[in-house]
Amino acid sequence: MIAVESLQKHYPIRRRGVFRRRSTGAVRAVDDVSFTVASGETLGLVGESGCGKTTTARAMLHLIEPSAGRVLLEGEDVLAVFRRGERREELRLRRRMQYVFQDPYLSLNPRWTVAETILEPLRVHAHVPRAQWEERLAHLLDLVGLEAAHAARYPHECSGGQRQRVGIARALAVEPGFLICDEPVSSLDVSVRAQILNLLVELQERLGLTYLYISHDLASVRFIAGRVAVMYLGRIVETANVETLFAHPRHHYTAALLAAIPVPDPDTRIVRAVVAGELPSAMNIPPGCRFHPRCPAALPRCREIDPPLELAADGHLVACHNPR
Amino acid sequence: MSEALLQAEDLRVHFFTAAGVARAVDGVDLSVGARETLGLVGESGSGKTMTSLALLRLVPPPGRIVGGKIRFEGQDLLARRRRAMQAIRGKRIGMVFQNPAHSLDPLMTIGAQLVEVLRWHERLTRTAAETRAADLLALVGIGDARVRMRQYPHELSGGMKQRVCIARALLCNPVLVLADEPTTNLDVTIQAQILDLLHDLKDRLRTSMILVTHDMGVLARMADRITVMYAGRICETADARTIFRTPQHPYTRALLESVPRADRDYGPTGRRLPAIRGRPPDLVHPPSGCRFHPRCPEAGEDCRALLPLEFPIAPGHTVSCLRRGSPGVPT
Repeated sequence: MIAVESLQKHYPIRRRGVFRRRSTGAVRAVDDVSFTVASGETLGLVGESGCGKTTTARAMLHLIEPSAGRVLLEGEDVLAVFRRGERREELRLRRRMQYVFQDPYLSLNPRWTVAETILEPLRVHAHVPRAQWEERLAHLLDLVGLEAAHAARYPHECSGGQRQRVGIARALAVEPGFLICDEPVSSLDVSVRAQILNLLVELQERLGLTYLYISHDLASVRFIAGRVAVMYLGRIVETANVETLFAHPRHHYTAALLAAIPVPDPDTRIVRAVVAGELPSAMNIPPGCRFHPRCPAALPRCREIDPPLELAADGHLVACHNPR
Repeated sequence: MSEALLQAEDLRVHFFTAAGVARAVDGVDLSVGARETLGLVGESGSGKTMTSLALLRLVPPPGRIVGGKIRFEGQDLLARRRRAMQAIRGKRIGMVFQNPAHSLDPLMTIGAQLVEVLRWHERLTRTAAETRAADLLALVGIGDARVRMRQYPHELSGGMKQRVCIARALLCNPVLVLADEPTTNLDVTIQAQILDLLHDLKDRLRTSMILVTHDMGVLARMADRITVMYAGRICETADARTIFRTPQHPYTRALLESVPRADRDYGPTGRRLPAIRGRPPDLVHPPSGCRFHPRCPEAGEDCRALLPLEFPIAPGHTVSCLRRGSPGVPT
């Protein structure tokens, strides 16, 4: 359904020189990222903070201008349409792909009621006759598990879970087929997270939605995603089905990430931190394989040759010279 | 428990807000033994952080400790003078907070912040303090300690900053370390490193620890005993294995079940998490009777009327739930 091809987002680093500002390098936040999401599927995009997950998502929707690359929605070059700047065309595409934000406290206008927030997309897109708004609002509230009485409330009168439901209803208002969910449960209470995760699964089953689910929390990804892409320093290092990835990670970074998750079971064998050191800066990406300075299985050539993402035997895509 | 290092009884912290009195901590009993790690778990608003701050008498206004007893090394902490508390905080009890960026002074070098603690508590000379600070930085895994001491917090990564905070907490050889969500803001690979470090140091230095967290995975890795809190009250206390294997309180069970797990296969279709219905209560107007009853799958009429008290159901295992035989008092 959606294909991302060689997406890049580089931020130039400028220094003030004596006479003019000079460009001295670039932060390669997203550095040649490609993946596809099939219709009705959930692709989990995981990685640690600063790896470029959110930048990728925002560039896909042209919320920021990518430096290079293409995004195809059912074959149509989305970024080209956005860049052309024809509003009707842009809105037509935006009705098909929407974004659910991480923090329902920051992504809702505190001076708007729930109804105003949810109906805002209909006002902008003006593709639904006003006479049907009332009905659409009731339908959306019901869809995300809110009551009719919530429509008149302001965000501060809602709990975190309810706010995230409003955020989801707003994204669904234009009936998109593709939803980017960027850490939708990270800022919620533990006991409320399960409700929102269940809601996302339920909506997908009922409406046939396609998700790109972005998170640093691998446990929630294991629950919600069908396929997982692991990002490290602006690059996808491994992609596989969720069961395969968790059972047999091929990339050493994925393995380290999985081993680092604290499992809620006191009898689990304690695996000590396998990866030493910290995430290098995206300003200063190591040459060769970007994971080699922290990799337990690095070979001499890992220092020189950047491994491409290649198909391994079991349907894995792995970017590694010496996979597990 | 007579050998407890720290013991709180019927601790109460109220917040006097414009909207009314919020009973953030409402009758909490807990104890930590020598060399023991007590995990204090709950959601935001459960009172776990306020309980830990109250133990050090650091409750911020408009909150106040309105009742209870805290005994630490045989002394009643609530009866001590304000200045006398300063001789305990940072010296006998070390503290590590959630956000290392906020708990370090951005205008002081790392070295100055560590030396200050030793000069104040231990009256060390500057050189002796610097040597001790460098030793501690090395202990928490910071290389080039002398170089790092001349740096400012912004020059260090989040994981490094948390290591500095741990070093600072350990400077005066405390008998107890209070760690409030010490790894919550860190990435998982860094979290694993910090948990390893805390685990090793606790063993080597023979300190006790109170670990406040919402993450059951972190507790499974670290805690000897666990106290589960909900809406300012304790649901259940037991050794870690019992809490994970045979939890008795419905909230403990629901909390464990509702969390998605990285070590479980969910299958492609029809997957659902056993979610807890509803949402955490408002502490200004908490539910009558058992605080958890509006969300509890086992609640009956009596749960609406009676507040359950903690009741031992096995040695070292207490539960406050009417369905498990706890006595109740009318509210």
